[in-house]
Amino acid sequence: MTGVPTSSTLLLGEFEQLVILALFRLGAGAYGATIRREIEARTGRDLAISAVYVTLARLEDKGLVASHVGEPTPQRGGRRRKHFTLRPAGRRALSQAYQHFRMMTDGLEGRLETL
Amino acid sequence: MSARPSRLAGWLATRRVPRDEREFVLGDLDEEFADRLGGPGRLLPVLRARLWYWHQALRCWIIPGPRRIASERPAGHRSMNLARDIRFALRVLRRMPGFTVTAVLTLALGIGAATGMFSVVHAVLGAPLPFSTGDRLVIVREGATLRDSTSVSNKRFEEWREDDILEDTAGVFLWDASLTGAGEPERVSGLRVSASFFETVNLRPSLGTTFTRGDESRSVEPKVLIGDGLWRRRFGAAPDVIGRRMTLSDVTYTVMGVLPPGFRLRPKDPLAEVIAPLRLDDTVAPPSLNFMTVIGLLRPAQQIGEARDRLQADVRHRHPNREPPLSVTVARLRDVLDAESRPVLLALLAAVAFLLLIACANLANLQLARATDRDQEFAIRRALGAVPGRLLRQLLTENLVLSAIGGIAGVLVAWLAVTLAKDALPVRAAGAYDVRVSAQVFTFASLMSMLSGVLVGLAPALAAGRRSLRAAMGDAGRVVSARPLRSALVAVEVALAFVLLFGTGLLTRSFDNLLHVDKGFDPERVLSFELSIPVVKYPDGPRQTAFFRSALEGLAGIRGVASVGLTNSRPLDQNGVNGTTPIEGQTSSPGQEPMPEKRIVSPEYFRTLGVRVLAGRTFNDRDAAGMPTVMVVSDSFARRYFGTREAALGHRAGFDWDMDGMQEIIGVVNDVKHYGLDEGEVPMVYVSYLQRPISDGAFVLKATGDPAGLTAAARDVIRGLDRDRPLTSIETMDSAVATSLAPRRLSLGLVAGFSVTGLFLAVAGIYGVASYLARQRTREFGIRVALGAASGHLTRLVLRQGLPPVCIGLVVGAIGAILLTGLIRAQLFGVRPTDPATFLVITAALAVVAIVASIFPAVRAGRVDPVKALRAD
Repeated sequence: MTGVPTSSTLLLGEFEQLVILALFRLGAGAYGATIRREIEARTGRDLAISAVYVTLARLEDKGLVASHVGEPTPQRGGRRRKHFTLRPAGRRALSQAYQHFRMMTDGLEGRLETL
Repeated sequence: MSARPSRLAGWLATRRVPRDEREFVLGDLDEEFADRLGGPGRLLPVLRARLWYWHQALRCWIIPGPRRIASERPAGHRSMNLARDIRFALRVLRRMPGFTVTAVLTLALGIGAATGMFSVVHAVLGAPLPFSTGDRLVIVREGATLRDSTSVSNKRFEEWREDDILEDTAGVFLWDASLTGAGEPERVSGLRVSASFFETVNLRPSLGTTFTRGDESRSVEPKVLIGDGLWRRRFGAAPDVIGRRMTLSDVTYTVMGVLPPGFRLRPKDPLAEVIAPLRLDDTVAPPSLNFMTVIGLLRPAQQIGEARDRLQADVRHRHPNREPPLSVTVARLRDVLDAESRPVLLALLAAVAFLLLIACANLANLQLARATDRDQEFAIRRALGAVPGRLLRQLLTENLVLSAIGGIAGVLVAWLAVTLAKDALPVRAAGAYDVRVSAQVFTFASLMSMLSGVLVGLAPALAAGRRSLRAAMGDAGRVVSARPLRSALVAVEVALAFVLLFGTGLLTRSFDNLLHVDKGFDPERVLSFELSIPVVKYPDGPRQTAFFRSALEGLAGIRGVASVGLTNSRPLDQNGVNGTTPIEGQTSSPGQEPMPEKRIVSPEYFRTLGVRVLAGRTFNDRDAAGMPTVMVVSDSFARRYFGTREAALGHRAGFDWDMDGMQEIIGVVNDVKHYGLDEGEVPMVYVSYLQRPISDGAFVLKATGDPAGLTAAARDVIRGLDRDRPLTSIETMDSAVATSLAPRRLSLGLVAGFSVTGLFLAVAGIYGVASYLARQRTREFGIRVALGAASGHLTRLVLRQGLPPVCIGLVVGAIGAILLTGLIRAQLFGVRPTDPATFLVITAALAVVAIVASIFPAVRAGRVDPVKALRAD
């Protein structure tokens, strides 16, 4: 992928943040189903699997995420898996999002908890 | 574990997933499905898993992903988007054939007419001079301004040629001669030029050489360059033509060379078929005769004003005692040539611009109507995350695609228009001007269509961008709209159409006035032709007069000829002679002398052309050489210089043109239009050819039947007298009248074409807005009808809404028309630029058309069926 934007110009959407955080948590073994389940399990949000793929494709377009296709498994009806990993730019974008969130929430924790 | 996910659900889940991702999505779904089966119990987990799978499938199908933000897309996708936008635009346009066809037609008519006209204007105004030195070529004349200036005498030309102020100075005058020898005698047109002419205009013969200064001497053998056409016609394109002899007006010339094809001095001149050197001495060209056109070549970087000052200083230095002092005018050849056609062409261009504006307004209106119809689509797309910029771009793409199609259709229309215009152009002009749709014109049309697409496309796109989902979907959307903009556009269209129609009305009235103007002569059943006899063969007056007298007698003897007349210059032939005519007993200050047109005619001339005698008598055969010389004057001459017709009789005036002494005025005839039917009164004086011999004349033959049938017999008569004399400019006077009206007919036809097209477009606009207003309020009207409103009331309601912009347009158009008709003032005849009758007729006509255009939608609105109207929501 050429022309990867620098993290300073990239802001992550809310759902993108969730997907990247899931990737960060899951590490090397992440793929569609695990990411979907990770987010669903932690946030309680009901997610369509296609939504995860659309977002991952976009993150890949932006150069934040890399993918590779694995071997077919019988469990998947003989279909292959597409694995996703975070690229350095993705880590930077996540770090930036986190920093921004922390800066903006700094000192508000108490009040935010009681909202 | 035998449970498997539903294949239908799997199919549904992947409908909106990109094909190459489906495998992974289905795999993930299957994997999770399998995991869910693994829970406690048997039946319940299977059911839950299936439910879960279907839930996923439906969600993937309905909303496959989170909102896509277009602006986040990487830049690399732009070109792909453009292709997609164009494909999408084509699909959208195909889905609305009514709109697309109307818009393309509007564009094609607007752009086509504009391009066609631009082609004609470009060919006439922008036509390159046939000389590579064109930009530096100037015409030098005597006089303070171009309008008051005259050609110069041989002597003046000699002075300037010696001065060396300009890089080159050439003297030219039009010349024509009878070509005799083998075959039929024929009249050939050409030029007499100084040797420097070829250098000045950078003309090189395609064969042979040009003249030298020595060839201007009368002591060397006459030489001639011949035109390409003549070379092919008379010499079979023989390469050894150089050195051959040919006889022109009974003088033998040696051929020096052949001119490149198509050479003519000015576009309106005939092709130059013979060019011979000036051979001047005082007997041929007295110093007082101003007949020479002087063409100069400015030095590189020489300013025109500086050249003028130096030439003028020079001439004043040579003639210090002239009072008033001599003046010189220098004008670019290009400007002089354009001066005649420019006002007409500019007026036509203005008409074209108006038509184009109407077309653009109409297009904008169509677009607005469509944008309103598509409000909901855009509102939903915005709600689904399309940013306004994205919608704007798509609309612009649609417009540009539309413009492109319209532009192509427009070029076809332009081609058609040029073909038609070429047929309508006077024959001579059509041959001279290279009128065709050129690459330049195509660029012009494309730019114009692109520009109108962008300008027109912007308004609806912005309107669409502002609308909120709620406004578009809810009832509010039916009232809030681009209505003010659309009404304004209708007003603009009506105003522009008014101006066009008003101009057409004035031109039509002028043309009608011209058709019915008193020409002063009766062109019906009159044949005319020109004949000249060479001075070499008929060297003196008596021999010339004898020739023409025999010719007149012979022609009068032809069966079917009622009477025959002779003149030095027939009406409407553009060539006349005028000059000062002193009147005995009256003195006038210099510059204020009577300057009537001068005609030399035979006694029967007046009767043949139906010119009426108002006082006294006309010539008879006893007014001959040796008898007291007499003169007949025109009504306007008599009234202007003697007060009344009768008062002129018995006074004496001097014809002065190769005629000595004073002539007694014996009669007054009505005024005759000579240069054009639109000229005012032109004073004219006549003498008899028996007392003032001529060598060039025009015969007029009044026929008892078809005048054209007399040509062969007339040719036989002339051949019987002198077998080497060709008849030239053979024409019926009816066709001479038609030819003199041809340029007007052309511009009237063009302007009328624009007006009708403009009116058609404006009506479409008015109709469009009225039906749009009616459609918008269908629901409201349904309720009103349900509550008992009369249909007439609703009709009036729609009319009341639709007509105000029309009225505003009429008022604005009327003001604009008054301000702008000055543009065509020069083309008006017998009608004022603010003619109230035309004004009223156009206003009434446009108002009626506007009401008719709005009444159909209004009546339809009045007949609305409440059940249908309300159900439609």
